Amino acid sequence: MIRKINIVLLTLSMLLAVSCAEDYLDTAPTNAISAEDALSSPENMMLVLNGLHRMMYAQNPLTGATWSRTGQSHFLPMFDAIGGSVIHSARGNGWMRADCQWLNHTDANTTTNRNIWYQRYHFIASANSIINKVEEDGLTKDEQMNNILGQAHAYRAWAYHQLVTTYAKGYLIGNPASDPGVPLVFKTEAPYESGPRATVQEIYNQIETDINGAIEYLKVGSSAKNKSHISLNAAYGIKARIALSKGDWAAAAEAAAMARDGYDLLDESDWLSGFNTYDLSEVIWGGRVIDEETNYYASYFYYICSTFNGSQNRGNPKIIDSTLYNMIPATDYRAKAWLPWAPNTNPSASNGQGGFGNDPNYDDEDEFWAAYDLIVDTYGITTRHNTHPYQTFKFLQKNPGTIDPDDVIYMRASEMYLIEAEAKAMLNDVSGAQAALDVLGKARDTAFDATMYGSQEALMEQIKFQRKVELWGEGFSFHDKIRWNDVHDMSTSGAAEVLYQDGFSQGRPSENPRWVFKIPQREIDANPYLSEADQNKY
Amino acid sequence: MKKLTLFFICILIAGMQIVSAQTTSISGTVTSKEDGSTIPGVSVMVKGTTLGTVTNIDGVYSLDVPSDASTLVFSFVGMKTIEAPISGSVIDMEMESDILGLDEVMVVAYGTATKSSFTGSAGVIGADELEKRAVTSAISAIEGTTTGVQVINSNGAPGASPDIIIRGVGTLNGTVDPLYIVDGVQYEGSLTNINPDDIESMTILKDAASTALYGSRAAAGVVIITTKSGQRGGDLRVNVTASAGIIDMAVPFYDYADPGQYYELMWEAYRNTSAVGGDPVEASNGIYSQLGYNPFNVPNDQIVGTDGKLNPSAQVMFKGLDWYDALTQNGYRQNYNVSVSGGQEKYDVYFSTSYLDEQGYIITSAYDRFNSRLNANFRPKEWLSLGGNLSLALTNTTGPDSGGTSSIVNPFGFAKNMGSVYPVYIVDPATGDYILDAAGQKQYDFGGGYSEYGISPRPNNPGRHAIAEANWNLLETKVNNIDARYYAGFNILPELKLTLNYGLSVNDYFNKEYENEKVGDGAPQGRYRETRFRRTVQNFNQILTYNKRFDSGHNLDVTLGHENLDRHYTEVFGMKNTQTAVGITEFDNFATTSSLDGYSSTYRTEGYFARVNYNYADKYYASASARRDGSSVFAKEVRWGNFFSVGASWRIDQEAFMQNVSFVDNLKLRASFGQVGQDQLGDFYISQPRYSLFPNAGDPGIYWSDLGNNQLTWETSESWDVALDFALFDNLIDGSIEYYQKISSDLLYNVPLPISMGLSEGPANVGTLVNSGLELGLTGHIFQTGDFKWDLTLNLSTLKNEITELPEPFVDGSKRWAEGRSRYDFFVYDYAGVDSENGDALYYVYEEIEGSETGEVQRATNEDGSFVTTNDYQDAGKGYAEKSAVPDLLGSVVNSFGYKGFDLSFMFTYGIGGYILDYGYADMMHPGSYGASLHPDQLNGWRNPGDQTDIPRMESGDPNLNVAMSTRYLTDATYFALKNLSLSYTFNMPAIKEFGVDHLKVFVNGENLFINTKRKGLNPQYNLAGTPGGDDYNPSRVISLGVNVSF
Repeated sequence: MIRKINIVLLTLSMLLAVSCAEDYLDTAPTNAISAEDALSSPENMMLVLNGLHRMMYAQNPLTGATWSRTGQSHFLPMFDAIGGSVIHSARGNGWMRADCQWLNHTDANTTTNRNIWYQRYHFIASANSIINKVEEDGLTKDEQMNNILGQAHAYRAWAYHQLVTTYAKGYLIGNPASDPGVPLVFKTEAPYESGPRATVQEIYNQIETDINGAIEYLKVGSSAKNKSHISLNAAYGIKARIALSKGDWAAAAEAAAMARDGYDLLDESDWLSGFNTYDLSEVIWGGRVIDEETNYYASYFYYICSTFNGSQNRGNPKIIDSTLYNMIPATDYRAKAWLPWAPNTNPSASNGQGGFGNDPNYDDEDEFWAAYDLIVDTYGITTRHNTHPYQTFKFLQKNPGTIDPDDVIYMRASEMYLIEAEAKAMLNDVSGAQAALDVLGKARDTAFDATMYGSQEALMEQIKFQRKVELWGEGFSFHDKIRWNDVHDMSTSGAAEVLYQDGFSQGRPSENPRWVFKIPQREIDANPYLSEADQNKY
Repeated sequence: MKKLTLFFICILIAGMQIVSAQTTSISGTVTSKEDGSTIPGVSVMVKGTTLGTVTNIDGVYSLDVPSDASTLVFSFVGMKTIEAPISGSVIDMEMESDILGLDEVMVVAYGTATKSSFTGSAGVIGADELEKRAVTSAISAIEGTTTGVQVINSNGAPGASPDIIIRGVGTLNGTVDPLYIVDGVQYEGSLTNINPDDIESMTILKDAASTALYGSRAAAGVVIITTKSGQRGGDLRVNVTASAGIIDMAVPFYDYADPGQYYELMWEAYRNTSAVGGDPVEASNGIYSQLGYNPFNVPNDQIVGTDGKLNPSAQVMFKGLDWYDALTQNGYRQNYNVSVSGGQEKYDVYFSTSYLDEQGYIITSAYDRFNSRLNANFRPKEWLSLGGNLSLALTNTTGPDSGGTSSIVNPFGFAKNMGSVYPVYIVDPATGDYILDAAGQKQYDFGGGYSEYGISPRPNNPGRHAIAEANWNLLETKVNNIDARYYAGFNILPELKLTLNYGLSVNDYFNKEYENEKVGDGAPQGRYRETRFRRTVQNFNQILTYNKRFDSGHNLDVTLGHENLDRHYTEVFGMKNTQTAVGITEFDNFATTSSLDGYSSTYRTEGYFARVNYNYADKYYASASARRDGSSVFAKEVRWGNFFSVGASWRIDQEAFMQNVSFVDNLKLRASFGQVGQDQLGDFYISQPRYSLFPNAGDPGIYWSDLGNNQLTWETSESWDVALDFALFDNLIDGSIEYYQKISSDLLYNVPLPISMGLSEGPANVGTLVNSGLELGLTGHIFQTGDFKWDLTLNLSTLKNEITELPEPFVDGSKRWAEGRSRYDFFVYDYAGVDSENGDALYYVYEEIEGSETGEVQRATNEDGSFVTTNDYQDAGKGYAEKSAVPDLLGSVVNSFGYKGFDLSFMFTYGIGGYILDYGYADMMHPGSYGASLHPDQLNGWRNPGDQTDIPRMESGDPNLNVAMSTRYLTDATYFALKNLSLSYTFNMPAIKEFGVDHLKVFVNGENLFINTKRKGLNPQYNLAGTPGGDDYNPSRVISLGVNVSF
């Protein structure tokens, strides 16, 4: 009996002895690092910034985001689709059709609406984490840390500016002190409740504090590693955009001049080289897209470049406003970037003039196809690509006819000259405006003479023309129209009403609430400070 | 490991110290009471010990028993167990069949139990039931056989397995899949890897009392699969089964408007746009240029007249307009299976091998599977038993990728959404005949326009062709599954046994995907990717059991155990583009790397458990269990959880006072309560705040990806269950009625953050869900006499789901989660019909109920009491439809007939109540999306002022006219299906014996033969949320013929 008990006890004790080691249940992932480590050193903080630089142009990897909303690669052409500068010539495969038709940003549930908000706020969250960590731990601010803090503040300013100009009424046409802006979030920590809509003015105050802080840090920081980083010049450029949008003309002019310092304007051959690399001399800020990090069909050039080999381009060539194009002087080499004579080979073209026999520009079939062949040969499109009058060839791939990635340009010196000119024109500094405009004008058009524009009105008209041509396809047209309080009228542009529908004509931003994006439903549903009553109403 | 070695040594020493007692020899023959034939394979055991043997082919046994032994126990599946006192050296026995199967042994958590002693709730499916089914995954056979189980058939592709939900969904974001245990060890591979012919039984454990021993993993229920072992006694038995059949689709495609109807409707849609302004002349002139294709024999501007009617002389002349025809093919299935089984007193062996080859009803879809299994058990010493089980499953799956249902490469969606005027192949617009290529072959029309033939781009998906892409792309997945199970059992004392189980599963997954250079995402350069992973799961447990029957009538059964699980996963993914040669699908053939990624993950758990089963006089049963589990998913401080259960049953029929109640044959009342846990939220590191890797143009980078939560801990599910099992009227009717309630709390929930926080969600333990239901299973043995037998089984289950605690309501697509609501209550736009004046779609306007803390909304009312409506759905807002995706009743009706050698059985399954938001239909009810297919119902739409209809006017581009997420598309989910039919004939002629054949059977099986739903095209079992898109691989119908021989 005793032996039996012994056996039982022995067995029981053995059973306990097979327990696993104490650290058996400690496991760690291999495709991520802990949040604590991510902010533990300046080197790691720089990794976080690198992640943001990537997110500027890349397929969005965030949980709850949509990969096809590829940052600026998607949002730049999206803003130009709504703004009406990049005109769709056919129904195509549907990408951005709803943007053209003003159905996307006016609906709180759309993917685009949600993703632009989410991506911008993710930048703010990451910037907050870095800024707060340095502050809380009292970390040493050496050159490298100043660079990090400069970029973090600059990103926060940029992101809030993007948000407030998109989801709230324009500063110049509204009542900033009382107009609802967007939630102001400084802390990326529990309880993660965000906040109510601050006023437009409050948001601008924060943006200005941040961008001025960024500039101070970057002045004493290490220099930008490459153009995907926010350099001191890029920070000035962001500041210039901010100041311009709120009518702080003097600051805009000054910052724009600082921003372009050291970035030479392109010459003809560079300007016509296709805007496919940030190595171009006048690029201040841009994203470099390499083969291993390609966005495939969700790339910037998929939406904007006629040679890209995707159904978006083959069946829906993008065109420029024909009235605008016809204003470009013959001496201006930028006229070469669009082909008013391109034959309309697309029988499904929305203007109903597709196919030989319908295209009023050609009555000889051989000429029609000869013109087409010339385009095929010149630009390297495939024979499956269609062409259309006023089609763009401003953007050209490094490898035409492929889907290979090309860079995304966020900021160029030309924009800065135009900001300076506009700001000075608005200050009624006619000669100052003429001087800024003249530099750019002369670089593009040998016959350019800024003195022809002797009044504020004439200057503004010319500046608007220059912005629309120079910055075509670079994502400015929607916000420009808000700043200028211009109507959205596609009736003389060559756009087809049957395609554009609601996007064919919209009243002035000051009177028409549809210029303000709906706040994503997802935000209203989850934010305890927001209810349906806080939604932008039409 | 050192600890382990020491442990083994101790056990061996302990085992060898047992001294054999004196023995006497007993022998005898076991026969059947019904026909006097001898029964091989009967287990003969000395009561209260593990000593025993089995009868041989002639029903004869012989056994050495200790001199102090008093009773022998004879048991055999399907026969009543008999206890006989030991008197003399020859004991012959007659056994009678047990119609109720009360003494049938069923596999339960870490052991076995007889049905009569089991206090929990479970369903069992045996090999004989599986034999009737031509299923690739044994899981398919659960449908209709077990109450409380909901089956989701979202994917009918060859090689796909359905999902089962046991007693409702008790989680918000965690897994709804039950835990699968195969031969005692957790199983993670696809269930299709297991050859159904190798399965001896499947036990579906439903209540917490029966699952609690699995603690942390059991919240969604447990399915225990036990594979076949060698049959002891008799000669080697060889069993060969071969079957072949045809496969087609079980759910039909949606109806669509024919080309004439399509043109008329789109003419209307175009005429009503602001650009055309209602001008019928412009509409007739211009509709062709919107649609791009004219399949008729009339000029492009004369297809539809200004009266909106198709030109009376228009005849369709285009060939090849049927996309569904291009999408489908003739499917087939063939299955061959050979097994050898045998064994003697000290060992048994089962060996099988099988090959399954399936071609699906959708182009390029196919699956083949090679299985082999060796199962051997050895009893070298009285105190030692050991053995194992090795199985190999090699599968190869090909077929089109639905690519995410909304994707353009999804051929189902592509074919479904294509307007009926577009040809699959290039046709001459002038004649409608195919334009053949140089080789005389038809050419796919990519829809990008062919100016050389005067063909316009098509407005719907121009430049794409999912059928061509399916044919030219390659999507192939090969998986090698190796499963090994080893055990050793030590009979330390007659009552005390130690068992060590070790299981190892290795899955090697190899996926190749090529996208062609001609059309699609691979164009123009061609691209290729491979995903490879290896998943290794190791599960080791040590179980000590103590089993004692006291003469006083008390019986005790104690189990103690320890277990650990280690799951390691490692994956590599690569993608290259720009091909060199056509036809080589290897990385060498592609020039540019677009991605090369890989990662590993580890998940581990450890647990200690104990169970006590007690019964008194086989009348009163009680059972209690406890488990303490730790999981690597959670932070150190909170990773351990405790789970327990209690259960009891009372066999009322055994009471003295019941002996005079003659119509009651069996009556058992049972009840249980228990707790289990859940740690599966789809991310093994969910509690850890993380930044994921994200390089920028080759520079290392990271981004904030996961919020984490170091307080995150177990989800707990508490459930109770009461049931009455009965058999009445001389076993004419037996069955059980059961009620359960399952309260799932501390739910692991990805709390939606305001996305202005920069991340969209964070995990937390919030929320409580309650599931409850009534289950009834009834079997009538209507005829049991003579040659004719008829059994009729009815199953029905109700399901109720309610959220009882949630801090903030959460809107998730068509659902809004809030306290007092089901997680499957529809929260959608509320369609108010059509404004008969102008054909607008109207929606009821919702406003917040004043003072509602959860922000509940209600229809707004006008002063006169009528509801406010608007034609702008966004202004209207969403509201509860007071309809749920959960069916009111689920169940089945099974009939089995036997006449001489014939067996016929058929199973109907049904679901009554519940709603489906029919997105597949809604897509086809658009108001004029050029090129997209239309449903014929659209012909009944509004046209003129005064028209009374529920279908708004056509007008291209107006987003308010068709809102898919609205009450307009809520469709009654009730269905009725002939799930399975099986007819067989067993030859019982002496003649076949002369050929040395013991058993010969021919059979025909049909699966998914017929389904009746509210609308053609609907798959009512697509998903739990009731939101089918109509663009996925629906279940297959399989009809197969076969033969089964054994000798």
